[in-house]
Amino acid sequence: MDNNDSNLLKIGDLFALAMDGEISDDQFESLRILLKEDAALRDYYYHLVNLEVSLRDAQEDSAFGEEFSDELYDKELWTALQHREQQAPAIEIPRGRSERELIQTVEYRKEDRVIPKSQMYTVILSLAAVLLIVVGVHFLPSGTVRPVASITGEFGARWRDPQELLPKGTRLWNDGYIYLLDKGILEISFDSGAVVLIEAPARVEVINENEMTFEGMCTAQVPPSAHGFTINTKNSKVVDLGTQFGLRTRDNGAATEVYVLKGKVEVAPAGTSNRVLKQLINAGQGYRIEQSGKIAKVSLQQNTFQWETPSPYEQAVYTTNPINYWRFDRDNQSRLTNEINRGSTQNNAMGFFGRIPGPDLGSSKPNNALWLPGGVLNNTGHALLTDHGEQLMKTGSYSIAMWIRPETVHAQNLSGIQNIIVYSDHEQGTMRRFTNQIYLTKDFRFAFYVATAEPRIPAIEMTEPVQLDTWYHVVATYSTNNAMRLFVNGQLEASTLLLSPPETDNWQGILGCITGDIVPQTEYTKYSFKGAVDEISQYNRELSVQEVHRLYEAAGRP
Amino acid sequence: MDIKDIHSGKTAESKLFLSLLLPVQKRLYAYILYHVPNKNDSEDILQETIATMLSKFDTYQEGTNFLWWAITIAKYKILSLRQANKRIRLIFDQEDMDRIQDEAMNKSGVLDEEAKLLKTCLKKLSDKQSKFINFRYGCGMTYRQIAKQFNISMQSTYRSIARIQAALLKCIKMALQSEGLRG
Repeated sequence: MDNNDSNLLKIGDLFALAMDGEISDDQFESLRILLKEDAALRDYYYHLVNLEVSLRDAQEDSAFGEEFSDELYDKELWTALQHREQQAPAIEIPRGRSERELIQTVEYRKEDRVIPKSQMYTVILSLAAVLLIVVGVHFLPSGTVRPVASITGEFGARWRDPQELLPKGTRLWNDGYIYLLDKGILEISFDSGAVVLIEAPARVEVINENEMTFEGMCTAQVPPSAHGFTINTKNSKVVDLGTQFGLRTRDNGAATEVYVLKGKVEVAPAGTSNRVLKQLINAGQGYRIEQSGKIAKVSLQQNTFQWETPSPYEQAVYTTNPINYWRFDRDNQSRLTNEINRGSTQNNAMGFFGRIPGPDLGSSKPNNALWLPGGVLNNTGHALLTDHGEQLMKTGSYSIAMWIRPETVHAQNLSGIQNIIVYSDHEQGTMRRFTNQIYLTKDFRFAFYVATAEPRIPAIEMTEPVQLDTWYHVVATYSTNNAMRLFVNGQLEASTLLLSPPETDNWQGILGCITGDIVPQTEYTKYSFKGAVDEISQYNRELSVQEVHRLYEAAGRP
Repeated sequence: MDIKDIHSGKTAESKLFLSLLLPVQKRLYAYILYHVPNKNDSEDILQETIATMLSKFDTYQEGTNFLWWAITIAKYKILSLRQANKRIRLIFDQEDMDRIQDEAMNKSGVLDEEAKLLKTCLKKLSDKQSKFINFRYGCGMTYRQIAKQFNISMQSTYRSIARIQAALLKCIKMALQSEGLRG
């Protein structure tokens, strides 16, 4: 018997065990692995399953009977089976695990059903009489499927499977299920005591009380009781030695980066048993494990990772399900591009422009904000680009919420008007017209403008000027019934109805620091904003008045 | 539409539902079993799936592929029941379920042909093998029951069945090849 036949028989054995619920966890995992790795085995398994169904269906046409009869007993058959049992090799079972033993007779629901083994249509006719009470035994000795962790925090979590419902308090089992987090932040507390904070997008499989398989970005807080907490990525194994660390996978999981905040962590390439290949990482250090297995020190910053659960304001934002959300607490904000001299781009907006403490959001958690200089910087023109407006205006309605801290107008701003966030008719680095703007008037009043076809409506504005060097919560909303509203600190400051639909041609979002060319006094520099912005959230729908209030109140404001 | 309508079989809708379901019921169950290789769990899922199909039958567009519609419902039923009961184990990853659904549709014709050839292949089993198949599928005995009844090990019972199934599949494959239906 060659290897292939051996595997086919192994598939058959394992399938037979699984059908009766007699398969152990390790055997089931063996079956999964065999099928995952070999297309030919999957094909065999496919036909085996169909044979199983056909055999159950065929019994009516064959000599099969309904009742067991002594006439069917064949001593020679059973003698032959006993002999074979002594000769046949055992199915491999990894050491340390034993087959699950039932401690009492299981009453299979088959006996409760009124469904004969004949045609399946009787299942339909008997559905009303079928009891769906399980009378099985769920004894779970160590090593079998069991709950091993809990979701203890969920902040705007959206799952790949839209039918997934995993609220706070959900218990997670070690059953091979893979959780695909598409948006938001999730906190998982393992029964060992380890707590993991996960940012979307992420792929999570809970292995046991102290171990998970992971792809994405997360941080872990590991108390002494969870010493040895392990995270497996595609190419590495990270073992905590009692600490707090951050982990992210890069290049579609091909590389793994680890930063240790406190304590120590041991990393090794996946599948390594040789201690020489392991690397100990101390507090303040960052390392990268390549697909090749090479481990090298890298420069990683503490603020690369999310260490704490979101503040109440952040949680309020997540629950409103924004399409974009920039918090500016960490460097390397993605999708916020600094276009330099209409050419090269870089993503480290905060590192380039500046960072200052953000508004008080009602939490002790540190909060950073992006600072914008307002004029030409280093004799170089800059435009800080957000996403294209098509995403924002996809449904016609949209909202933008943000915190703004104005300062005195930059000397190069000759218009006095400061564009905080604009969408422009933008092409190849050339801005033609501003179509949608949140800006500060010459006398420091927040204003909101939407360009339309003629006849156009002027911008809506606050009635009173704001104080400089003070944080304000500003929300601008536009709805498809042409209603525009401007809220400041939770209060409706201005509103109007447009007479024509808005212009939506070739939008490009630009944030604040439009400094144009190196020559000052250009048409761009004269509108640039000097000050700070934070917690920018964008929506392709109109936020309600209640939602705006809740956002502002979430920051601990009355 | 609910169970009462099916029981009565009097409404045009219930007749239509049955006429669509009966030809594909085996394929539907096989799809579920393929993902959840456990007799009790898969039968539960099948019942839940059919119940959902009944309640959502007004969303089915007549003339479209009924099996595809049924399998789509089964797919989400598998996932939702799995979520509610973590004891249910899936053989394949969630991400593979769409691809498997496509494959299930593509293989449908060949599998029907295999089912027809099974009868012929069953006749080629030895008496001993036939009796064993009868214990399992005719009498509906579990391996544990068979082992206990005849004082042999579980290992012997499920291995014997697995080898008989392998022999049947080989027989079917050869028959299909001679008919030019399977590579």
